[in-house]
Amino acid sequence: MVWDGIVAIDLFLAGMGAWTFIFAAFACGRDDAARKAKLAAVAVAVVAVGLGALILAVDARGGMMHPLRFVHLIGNLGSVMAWGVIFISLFLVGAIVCAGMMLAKKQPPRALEIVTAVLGLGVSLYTGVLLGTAPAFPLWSLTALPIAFLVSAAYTGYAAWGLATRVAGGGSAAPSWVSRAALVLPVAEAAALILLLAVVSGTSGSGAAAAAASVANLVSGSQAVVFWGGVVAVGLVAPLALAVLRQRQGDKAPAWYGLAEWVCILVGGFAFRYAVVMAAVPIFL
Amino acid sequence: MSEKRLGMLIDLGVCIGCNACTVACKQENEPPLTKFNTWVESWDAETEDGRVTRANLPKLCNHCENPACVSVCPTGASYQAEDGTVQIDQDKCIGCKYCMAACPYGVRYMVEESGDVSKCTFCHHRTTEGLLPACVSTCVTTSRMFGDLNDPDSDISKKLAEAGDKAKGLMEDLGMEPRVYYIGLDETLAAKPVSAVHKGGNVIAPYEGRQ
Ligand code: SF4
Ligand code: SF4
Repeated sequence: MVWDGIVAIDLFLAGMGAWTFIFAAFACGRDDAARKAKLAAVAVAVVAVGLGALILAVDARGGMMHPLRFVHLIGNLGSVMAWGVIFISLFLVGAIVCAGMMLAKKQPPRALEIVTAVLGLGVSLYTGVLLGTAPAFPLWSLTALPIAFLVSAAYTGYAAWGLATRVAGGGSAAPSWVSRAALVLPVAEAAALILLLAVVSGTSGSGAAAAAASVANLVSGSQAVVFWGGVVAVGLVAPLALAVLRQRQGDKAPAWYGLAEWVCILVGGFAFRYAVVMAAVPIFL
Repeated sequence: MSEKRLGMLIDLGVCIGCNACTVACKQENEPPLTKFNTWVESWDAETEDGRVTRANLPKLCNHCENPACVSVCPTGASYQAEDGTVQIDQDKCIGCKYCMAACPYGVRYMVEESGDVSKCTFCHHRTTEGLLPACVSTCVTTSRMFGDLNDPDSDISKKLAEAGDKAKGLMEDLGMEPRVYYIGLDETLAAKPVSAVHKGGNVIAPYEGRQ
């Protein structure tokens, strides 16, 4: 085991936090009534991405024992991890400035929100590409994993945004594309999962045996409960069903539907990162 | 082609799996307990004519020409030295383990006491003084050969030229362009394993086919 559940937490928090900001920037109103809810979502984004980065740093044992080594952190710009550090740092700066302005009862400039959202997109893409560029683990396919992590990050960001704004008292009504996202994202995520399993199962050459063993771990082995129970049932089927019910019943839908949907998505999103990290079998013995 | 390009050639036909190289490396480089810079994987193998032989496959960092470990390292701690070998500058290594997730040969390990990553250096401290790597100089059957792949007159280049297609690197399809070559690799990997795979006396891959 090279990377373990700790890295799964970091990947989850980074993707979720980045997309919480994106939802806050585009789904919250820009009027004063929406400011509190939006501030709550941006605060969640900052804490999640910041905590993810902190966990990554603490897990880097050499850096923790010799902190001065962190000055080399972007010493090789050919490394995806260096780009992750750049995206995360700039994203945090942008998000913190936005939060600060809202605390001062001002609206952040649109341009700043858009630039920070683009950096957030980079953060969420980085999580999948990071694993995708580790050829010792064929499960982490560069073709399929970044897409699956990206869609999952968007879905968990939607959930965290929903929870944060609800807890902060709502604010203005969400635009109609948000209800569509609640239906489209789980379907897209299911498609991305199928693509991942198909691409990895098709691995040939020296990686074939490790690829097959990893897929077996996911669907019928050590991570099967996490995969079918956590990722598929709790993370996709349940929230999709709740979203459909909620939208059918309209105003009559009980409030807990939304809360349950969002919590399920977050559990499923973490289960996905965890299963993908833990099920991966290396090519070497 | 004036640049140096150090490499190794291991003739599996004469390797007897004695692990003298493993021990010499341990003495020379003192990797931590349970960690090895080079080791020998050994198992019983059934050949096509029904004989059972002992297959031995020494392993170490391949000092790849196109090393994933170097391209992923965020700090530049992992780098390619002027002699073509892949080295780690421990003073820059933050221990993120990205290189360990990238290297498909499983040759890197974390040094718990210092928090950085280590591996075979091709005995850089010896080769810069004109000595051979410890594993090569100790090999009792001269199975291991070492030298400059860019010098056509070096012993290793001559032996490689003689071996032609028979000299191969491990898992070349992964594109790392390993610079540790083996003679007899296809034969060793094609023989059917009829025992667990051992590494220094420990089982690293159990035998599934037992009746
Ligand atoms: S064998 Fe692994 S550690 Fe050594 S150079 Fe190749 S990729 Fe890097
Ligand atoms: S563990 Fe050290 S050598 Fe390996 S990628 Fe990280 S910084 Fe580079």
